[in-house]
Formats: sequence, C-alpha cells, structure tokens
Amino acid sequence: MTDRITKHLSEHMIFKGLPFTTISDLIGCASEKSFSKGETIFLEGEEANYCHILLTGAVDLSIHTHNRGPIIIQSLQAKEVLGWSWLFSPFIWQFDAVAKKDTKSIRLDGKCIRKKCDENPELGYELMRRFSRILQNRLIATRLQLVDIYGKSN
Amino acid sequence: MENQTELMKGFSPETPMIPTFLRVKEKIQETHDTWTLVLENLNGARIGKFSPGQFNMLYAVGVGEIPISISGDCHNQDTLIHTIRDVGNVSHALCQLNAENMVGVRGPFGSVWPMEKMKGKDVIIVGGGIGLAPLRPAIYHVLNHRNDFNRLAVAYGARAPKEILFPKQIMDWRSHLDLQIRITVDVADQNWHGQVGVVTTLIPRLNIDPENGAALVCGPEVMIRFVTRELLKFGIPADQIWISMERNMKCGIGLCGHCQLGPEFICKDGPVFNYTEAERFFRVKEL
Repeated sequence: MTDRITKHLSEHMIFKGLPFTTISDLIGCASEKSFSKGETIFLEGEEANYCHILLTGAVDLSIHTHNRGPIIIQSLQAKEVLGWSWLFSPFIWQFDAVAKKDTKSIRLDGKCIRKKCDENPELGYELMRRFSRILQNRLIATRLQLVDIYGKSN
Repeated sequence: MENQTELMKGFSPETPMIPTFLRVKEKIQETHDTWTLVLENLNGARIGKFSPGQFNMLYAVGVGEIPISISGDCHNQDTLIHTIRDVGNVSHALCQLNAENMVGVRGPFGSVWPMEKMKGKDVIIVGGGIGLAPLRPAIYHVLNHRNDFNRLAVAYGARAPKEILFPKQIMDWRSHLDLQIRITVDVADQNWHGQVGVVTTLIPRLNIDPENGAALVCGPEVMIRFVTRELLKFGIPADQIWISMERNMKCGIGLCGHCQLGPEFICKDGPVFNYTEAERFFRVKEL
C-alpha cells in the first residue's frame, strides 16, 4: 500500500519533483480511501482536517439551499485535489462533498501535513506555492462562472 | 487562412449582395431559445459548396439581415443548416419561421477552419454556448475523414443542462470510440449527473498530445480569451490555435466596415483567425 501511495503522490502535480525523502516523509500523513457513489465525503460546517487527491471517480461540491436544495458548484475528477479548508483556520468545511461515482483517493491528514510544514518551512513554502497555483485556477474558474459568459448579450 | 477563391463559389457568388431565397424544410428546437433551420432550394437543386467555419447572411423578410454560421455537414449539399439563438429582432424573426417559409440567404462568406493544416494532428475542439454551432461542421469533417487526423477531443461548456446545444447529436458522438467528448455546465441542480464548472477546466483533462495538437475555439469572446490561455498552458503551440470571432456585420464582403476589427474585416478576413493574428486584438478594449 505504501508503495502505491508513494507512486501516486510522486506523480501528482502537487508533489511532483519533490525530493524522494520528502515524499517518503509525507507518506505517514497519507492513506487510501474509497467512497461509494452518493456517499458524503464531508459536510459544510464540519471540522476540516483532510484533503483528498482523487485517483478515480468524481466528486461534486455543493451548497445546500433552503428553497432549491443542493446546488452543485463544481465537479472534481481524477488527479484533482478535493478540499482546501484544512489549510486555513478555523479548519471548517465550506461546502458539501458527495461522491458522484465510486471514487478512490489518497487522503492527506491536514494536521499531519501542517505539522511537517511548521517543522520544515522550506517544505511549507513549496507546498503552499503549489497548492496556491491550484487555488488560483479555481478562483479564475469561479470568476468566469460569475460572469455568466453564455448569457444573452442584450 | 486557406485559399478562399474556390470556397467563395457558393450559391450566389456573382451577386453577393442579392439574396437567394431558400425554403425552410425543417425547424428543430435545440434549447428554449435556440432553433436550427434546415433550408433547401425551391427547385430541389443542390445548395452549393461551403466549408467548415463559414457563415451566411440570413434575411428575415421585412425585418433585417444577420450573419449566422453554417452548422451543418459540408458534405451534404442538399440542405443548408443554420442554428440560431433568439437574441435580437432579426434572430427572433428567423426563429419564428416554420417549414415552408422563405429565408433570404447570401453567402457563403468568410474564412474557414484550417482542416487541411490539421491533418495528422490531435484535434481539440472547444465550444461554449451557441459557439458549438460553427464548430459542428469541423467535427463532421474530422469524422468524415477520420484517417486524416489523430485523436479528436471535443470540450463543450454551456450555462446549464437545459441549454446544451445538439443534445441528440452529442449522444451520437459519444458512441464513437475514437472521439472524446467532455461537457460541463456552469450551474446545475441535483438532477444533472455530469460535470459542473467552466469550460476551461475540461482542457487539462483531455487525452491529447499537446505538442502535436491543434485547437479550434468558438464561443463568447471572454470565453475564447480564457480558453486560449488554458490551451497555451496545456502546451498547444500558439500558431496551432484558431478562433472564430464575431462582430456586427452588414455587407458580408468587406465593403461597409461594420465588422472592422483593427485592420481586419471579420466578414472577409475572418471569422476564423489564427490565434497569433487575433491575440493582439484581445488586449485592446472596446475594439
């Protein structure tokens, strides 16, 4: 199992190129997880202590509304990263996440990763830089959604 | 752009300002505000030659004339197919037409998708909203000449599931094992089981060799800007990206200047431009 996790992490854009010793050190924070189609991965308001690197399947992020039910705001697929709230205090999930299909992931323990980053600021900076790139892409995508680019021009 | 001389020999080449009247053979509702008109000659004669990416000026009698891209298969010259979104007076009038009604048509006009230049390449087609309509002839072309091209991927974004264009066609394309088709919507409820997010998010997921890739992009201009950035980030060379631009047009033959964009006339020099030619216009506001 450890070999599998090492392989997945070292090939993923977040960790690709990091020294093998660093990845080996992070393995202690990682575990494999599976979710059945329709299974809730986390709910808004719950404590956020994990993120997932999706290996297979897909996950919907949604906001529950009183009158319209859940509104899906984004779908994530294999190779994408699910979950940011573990990075920032107060470590609370902002959305609901539900497996759209049977899904497998590498789950990273946020507390464990944060501890390692605190102990090794160089690693902390590098990881933050890489996670920020993904956050930037998500922010751009969200802003495009807000623009309603397919709306009628008049 | 490819040589236009032959391609411009359409159904009214000698008198480009005089419309030919075609009959609506069939009207298909695509979405709540978009219809496809299938047009035919009154005498049953063939329509004439046109190429992927070209457009016609469609005249709604007594209302006005607008440019509409050809959305049909260029190999079928028995009919002429246009997909129209009801957004203004003329498009509204065209969308109100029914079978047996007449439409004035001038064209075909404009530059074409570079199908010849893309031979042997991985082809990426990125459409947004009604922008899938001008791209459909290019998809037909690749499917009709499948051995001339390498991988084919279609990435399509719509505002909501009910606004997805050509849903039956997309179902059919999905049955092709050698065509990747990915669809996303900006907004969805729980009844939608597909992808949610903007069209740019689909690009990194495509199974394409970017170094040997060529991309065709059509949609709202803001979408084109962000999609082209994502394609460049993905590794598609800038000179292997083509886009289709849109502006108000009147004459369709580069005389009146209504569609002028810098030194270019969209109707005559476009609507299809290579990204390296068009990129400079993106940086000029209100152009």
